[in-house]
Amino acid sequence: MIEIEELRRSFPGLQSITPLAESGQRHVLRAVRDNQPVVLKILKPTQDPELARRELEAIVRLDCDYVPRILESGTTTVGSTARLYVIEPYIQGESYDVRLRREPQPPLPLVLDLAETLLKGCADFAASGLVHRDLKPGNILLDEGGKIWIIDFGIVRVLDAVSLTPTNQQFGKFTLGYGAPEQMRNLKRQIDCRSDLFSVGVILYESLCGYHPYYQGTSDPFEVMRRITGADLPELEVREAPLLGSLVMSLASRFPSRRPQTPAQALDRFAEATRGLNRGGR
Amino acid sequence: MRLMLQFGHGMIEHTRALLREWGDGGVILSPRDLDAEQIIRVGSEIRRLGVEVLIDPQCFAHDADHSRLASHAHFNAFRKCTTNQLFTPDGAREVLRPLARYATEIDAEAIVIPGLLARPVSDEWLGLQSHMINMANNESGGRKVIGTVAVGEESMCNEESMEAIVDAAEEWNVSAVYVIAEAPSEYLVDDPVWLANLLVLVSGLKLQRKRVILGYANHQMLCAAAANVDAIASGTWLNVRGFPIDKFYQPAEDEESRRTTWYYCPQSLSEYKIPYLEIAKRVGVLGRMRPPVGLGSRYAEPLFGGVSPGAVNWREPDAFRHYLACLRGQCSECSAASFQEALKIQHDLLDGAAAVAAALTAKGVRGDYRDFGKCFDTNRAALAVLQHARGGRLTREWQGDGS
Repeated sequence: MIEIEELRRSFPGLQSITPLAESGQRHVLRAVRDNQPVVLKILKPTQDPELARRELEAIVRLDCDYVPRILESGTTTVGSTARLYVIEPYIQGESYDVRLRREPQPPLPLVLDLAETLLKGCADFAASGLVHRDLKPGNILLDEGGKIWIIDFGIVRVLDAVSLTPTNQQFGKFTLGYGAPEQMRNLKRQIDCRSDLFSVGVILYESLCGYHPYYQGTSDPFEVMRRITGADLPELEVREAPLLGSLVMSLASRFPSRRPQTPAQALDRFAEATRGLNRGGR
Repeated sequence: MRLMLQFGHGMIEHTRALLREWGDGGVILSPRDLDAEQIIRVGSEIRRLGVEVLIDPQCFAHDADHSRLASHAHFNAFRKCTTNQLFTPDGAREVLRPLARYATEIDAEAIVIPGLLARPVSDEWLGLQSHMINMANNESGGRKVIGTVAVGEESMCNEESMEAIVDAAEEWNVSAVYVIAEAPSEYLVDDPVWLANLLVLVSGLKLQRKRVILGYANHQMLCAAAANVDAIASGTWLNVRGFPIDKFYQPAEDEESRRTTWYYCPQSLSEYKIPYLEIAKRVGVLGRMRPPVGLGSRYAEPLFGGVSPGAVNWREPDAFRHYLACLRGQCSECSAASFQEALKIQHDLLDGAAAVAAALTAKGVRGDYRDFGKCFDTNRAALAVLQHARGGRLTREWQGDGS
C-alpha cells in the first residue's frame, strides 16, 4: 500500500489524492491539479523499469485522439524510493467492461463507434511503430460526453526496439481471451498491428453477440486457450450489416494472414460494411 | 492463370509441337527425365522460342536414387549433404552452383531453389527454406529466385502447417514460389481438406504479391484460379499430373507399360477410355463430349469425325496433346478480374461439368477412376473454405486478371 501522506509530499501540486485502483504494476490515484481532475500513476518498484520507460515513451510519441495525453511524467522520490510516475487527465465515465456487464449487447451505434475508434487507434499505434498488446474492454473508457478512450500501455511492444520478453518463454504477454494467438505463443516475429486487430475483433464479436466467444460455457483458462488457438469462431451474423459480421470474423481470425493486414485496410472494410447505416441513438 | 508444361518422360516432342502451335507458354524441365546435355539443349531450344524455362531441381528427398536424377551435379551434391550440411553456406553453394550454371547455359530468367519435401512442416524445414533462399540470392548471378514449397501429404491436411508456411514466406526474398503438394491419391483427390488447404496455402502466398506456380497439377487444380494463382504446370503421364515421390526412386521407366488411352472431356472434367466413347456414339451422346472449339484443341477431331471412335487410330500422343491443349484453354477461361468473378467461373464450371457428367453416366458413359464425379463436391467445399479464410482479402487485394 502506498502512503497518501508521502505522495502529498512528493507531489505538492496535487490536491485531494485518493486511491483509484491498484495492479501488479502500478498504483493509480485520483487527484486535482489546477482545479482539474487528474490521474496519477505511480509505478511499483517491482516493475521492470525498462518496460515502464517504454510505456512512457510510447505514449509520449503517440499522436492519437483516443489516448489520454500525458500532462507530466518523470521520476520522483516517494518515501525513500525513486518512482516513475505519470499524470494524465482524469476521464469521468465508465470502463467498457463495466458497461458490458450492465448491458452485454450494447446498441449497434455504440458498437460501431467503438469499432471505428479502436481501428483508428490501431492505425495511430501502427503509425508510431507500437503494438498495444492489451486491448480489452477493461482498457476502454466511455466518458460522460460519449467519447471512447483507449488506456493502459503497460505491455506495449515497441516494434523498433529489442523485445523484453525472453524468446524461450513459452507464453508472451497477453490477457487471456483478448490477446492474439501469436502473443500467447510468444511468436515475436508475428506480433505486429495485426495482433491488436485480433483483440479488436474479439471485443466487437463479444459486443455484437452479447457474450464472450471464448469464455462462453467455460471458465477453464486452458479450454479458453484451446479455443483461441484451435478453431475459428462461429459464424457471426449481423442482420443490419452483413459485411460487418465478416469483417469482425476476419479481424478475430486466429491466423494473422487472414486478418486485414493493416488497420487502414480494416477501416476501409469497416466503411464499406457500415455505409448507409443509421449510426445515431447509442 | 496460364498453363506451364511439366516435363516428364517423353515430353520433348510434345513440347515442341505444342509450343510451335501456341507460340507462348512456359516449361518446367525435369532432371529425372533429362540428362545434363538434354537439359541444356532442350532448355536452350525452348528459350529461343521466347518461352519461359525453369528447371525443377527435384531435391525432394536425400535418399532418392533415380539414376538419371543422380547424374546431375546439383542432385549429387544434394544427396551427399545431410540436412545439417545444407544449412552451411558451403553445403548450400554445392547444390546451388550447378543450378546457376544450367540457368546461365540456357539463359533462364530465374533459378528454382531446391526444396525438401516437408514431412512434416517443421521449424527446421522452414529454417532450411529461408537459408536456401538467402544463399540463392547470393548465387543466382542476378537472376530471379523462385522458392520451392514441397509439402508432404500429412502436412497438406494440417491447416496450421499451411499458415506456418505463409507466415514464414513473408520474409522470403523470392520473385515466385513453386508449390508442390503430395496428394493422398494418385490422381484426382476427393479429400476436401487437402484441396482446401492447398487453396489456403497458394492464396496466402499470392496475397504476399508473390507469383505462384502450382506444379505437378491436373485439371482439378483449375480451382487454383480462384486463389489468383499465376500458373499451374501439368504434363502427360499421371506422375507429372500429381506428385508421386516414389518416381524419384524408381530406376527406370514405368509408364510405357500402361497403354490405356484416355480422352479428356473438358465439359465434364472427366476422362474416358476409348471404348466408352464408342458407347457414347452408340447411345447418341458423343457430340456432348466434343471439345468446345474455343479451348483450342484440334487433336481429338478424328474421334468426332463420324467414324466409330474405336476404329480411329487415336493414341497417347494425341490424348496427351489434347489434354494439355484443353487445359491451357481452361486455364485461360478461369482467369478473372476479381475474386467474385473467379469464384463464379469455378462454380459455373463445376455445375456445368457435373450436369454433363451426370448425363453421360445416365447413358452408361463412365470415366472409371478418372471420373470427376467424386470430386465436384470436393472442389466446391475447398472453394467455400477459400472464401471463408481469405475471401475478404482476396476481394480487396486481387491482382490483375490472374493470367
